[in-house]
Amino acid sequence: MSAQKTKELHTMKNEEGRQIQSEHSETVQVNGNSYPSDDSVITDPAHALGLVEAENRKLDALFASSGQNLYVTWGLVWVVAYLVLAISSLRNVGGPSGLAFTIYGLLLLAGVVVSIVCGVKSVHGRRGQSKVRGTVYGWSWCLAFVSGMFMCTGLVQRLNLSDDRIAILYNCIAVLIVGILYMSGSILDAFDLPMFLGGLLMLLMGMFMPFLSGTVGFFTMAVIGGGSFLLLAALVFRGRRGMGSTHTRR
Amino acid sequence: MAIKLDPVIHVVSRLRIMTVLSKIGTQEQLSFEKLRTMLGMTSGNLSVHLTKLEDAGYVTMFKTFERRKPVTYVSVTSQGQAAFQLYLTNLKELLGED
Repeated sequence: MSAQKTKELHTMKNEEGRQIQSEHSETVQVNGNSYPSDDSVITDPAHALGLVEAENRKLDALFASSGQNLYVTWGLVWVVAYLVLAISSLRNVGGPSGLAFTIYGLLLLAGVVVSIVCGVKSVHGRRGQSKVRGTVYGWSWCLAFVSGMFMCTGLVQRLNLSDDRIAILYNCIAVLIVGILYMSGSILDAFDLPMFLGGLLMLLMGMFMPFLSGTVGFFTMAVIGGGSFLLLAALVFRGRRGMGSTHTRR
Repeated sequence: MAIKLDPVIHVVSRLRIMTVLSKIGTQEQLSFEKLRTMLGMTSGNLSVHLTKLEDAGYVTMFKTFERRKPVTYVSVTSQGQAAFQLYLTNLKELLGED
């Protein structure tokens, strides 16, 4: 985000419109384009428009970066955590081992911590509606998961479910929560189509989860669930590169 | 009739400031430090240009304390937002764009 300044011989007009040349004038670099120094009156309207477009691209890329960090974090957490459960369930007849569930829990906890840090960083230095929306949305994730996991625990105890069905129940609730929150998150600001599609994919996956038990269910969560987060990260990254590379220097 | 670009905005630093603040909107405020970092400007330079924009009624500055430290927040006003939109319209007209 830094705007580099370079001194160079520069020709411009002063406020009366007279051509002046100054060897002490500086240029400001924004997204690889150079513009007259900070204090200069802009002589070329095309430069002014280029400057506006360059700043807009920088801002779009900046705002997209926090979402990308979250997608990467949760993509990696889901892939690794559910692969651990899947591999463990392959090795143990009665389902994943206690160690596998401990690693799974620790990875989810790490994901929550990273998400909180990313959330706090993204709203640092800002006040207003976006900060309120971001904070409420962040808490929605936290509360939805706490509520969902309590529901699962209660159902497990009341219905006396087998290990296989417990895994299915937890997977279904996790996918449902992520799907709904993704879809609602997609309309927090300007409509975010990749995020909406990510939520839709989760809900579609949730419809099939009750029929995917044990190891297959864990693998599905790792590959399709984790994969969809990583795919979203890749889409955002591509979008950010597009924002940074479409220079319209005039 | 000759198209006139708003002289308050038509300076590199102030155009960049107005672009950032208009992008986040009138309901949002950015801290002076965050804005300074985003634009890569010195505190003195940013302060001078913000004062000029504030004098024109284009931005508002809010001084507050956070953890006992003074913090200044900046936001674009409705008047500033309208002036910036008009500036962009005139600019595009000048360049023969829609």
